[in-house]
Amino acid sequence: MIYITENILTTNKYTQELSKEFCGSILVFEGITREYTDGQKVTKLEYECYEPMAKIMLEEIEKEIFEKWEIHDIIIAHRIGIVDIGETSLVVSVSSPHRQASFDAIQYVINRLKKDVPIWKKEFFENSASWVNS
Amino acid sequence: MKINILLFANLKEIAQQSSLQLDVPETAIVSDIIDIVKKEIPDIAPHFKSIMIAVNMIYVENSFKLNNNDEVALIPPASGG
Repeated sequence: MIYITENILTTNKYTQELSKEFCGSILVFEGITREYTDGQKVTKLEYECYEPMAKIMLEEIEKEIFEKWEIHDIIIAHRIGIVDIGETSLVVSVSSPHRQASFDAIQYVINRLKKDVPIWKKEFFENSASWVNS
Repeated sequence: MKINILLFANLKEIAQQSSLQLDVPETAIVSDIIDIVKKEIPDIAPHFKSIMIAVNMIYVENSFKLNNNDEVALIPPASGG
């Protein structure tokens, strides 16, 4: 399941929603906004998204996950809009019969998301702001 | 034919608009669109080194042949997560 939302991400919700039948492992990754980038104090972040394409790509990544590893269920939730420091911008939760599959799957999802999915992050500093990687 | 261009993130800020519509010949390919955008919004030109192009939400090469009403998105390097 994919969620792209401007609302605060409540990690518990995405753990509880996972289907867990026959599973011995639930793994949850939470990406939070860091207070410093290269020693510069960050005041807030803003995420922008090409939402229909991002959803299609995240669904494709989910399909790949099921082909590559023995996992039971996965939820990817990305927040967009303004995200304050210390708040959660990304949740990836995975259930699987055995834990290793979940660890591998989560790494894969995050690497693919950061590389290919059309979501962009703008960092606001005390006297400036810039889009990351641009 | 009509082509809709979508701009995001830094490109949207540079262009001060999130989309533009172009009228192009039926034979147009992606690189033709890139050339037009570079002329219309010169400040975007240096960014094309790192921009990916998606047509109707699928990444394509610059030689991709366009059709009427295609949606061409200029995708700056991703930075989600």
